[in-house]
Amino acid sequence: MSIIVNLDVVLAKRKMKSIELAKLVGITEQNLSILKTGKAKAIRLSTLDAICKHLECQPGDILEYKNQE
Amino acid sequence: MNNLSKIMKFSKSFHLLLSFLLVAIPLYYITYWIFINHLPETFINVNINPTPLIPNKLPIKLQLIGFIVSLLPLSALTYGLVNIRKLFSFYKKGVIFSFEHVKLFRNTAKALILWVVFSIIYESVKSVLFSIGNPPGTRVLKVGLDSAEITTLVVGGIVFFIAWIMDEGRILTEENELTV
Repeated sequence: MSIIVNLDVVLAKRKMKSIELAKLVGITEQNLSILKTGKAKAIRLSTLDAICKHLECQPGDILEYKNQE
Repeated sequence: MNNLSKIMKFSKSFHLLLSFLLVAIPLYYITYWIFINHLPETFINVNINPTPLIPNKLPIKLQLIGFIVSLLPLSALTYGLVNIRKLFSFYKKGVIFSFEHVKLFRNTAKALILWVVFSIIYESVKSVLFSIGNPPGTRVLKVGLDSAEITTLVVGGIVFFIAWIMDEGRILTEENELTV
């Protein structure tokens, strides 16, 4: 897929652990892992909203489009 | 008791019934061909009134041919039963939706259609075997498709269609599971 999820990078910058973010956002660690590893097929706006709120970032910091043709 | 518990309970009973049928049906076929010469004529009638058939005397060679041909519908029937039994073993465990279910539905549909085809062959061979001892001109080759077989074909087609729809449902479920 051409959409790259940079959640790892943002988490490292904020020095926050996945389990901590999962608790703050209200999703399971397993679901956060699906998102981090790029296996997710869709992301709810409410989830994106909560992630951006707790990581104090923009959606563009987490999601990036790279043409992989 | 919620719905899933009820499904699991009923599935357990169906699983047991199918396990019994998987043993009983092959046994019926074997017994039928072993005791063919001792069965009442109504069991082996080929419906060609008023010409009488040879009364219940099949040589061992014909008995063997009959049994071997009977393995065709029997194998399709067993294949179908094994698949339905597997389906119920999933329901028994409370697993009600997966790719495996779609595959099992598809296999069951295939088994139903194969069963119809093999039954036609089996009935035709039976008609020849049971009338082979008749005088020339009264021997019979019966090839037919009756309403029960047409119904089975329609049911097979419907099951195929359901499997197709279930596959779409599975894709949606998978997508839902991968939505964060």
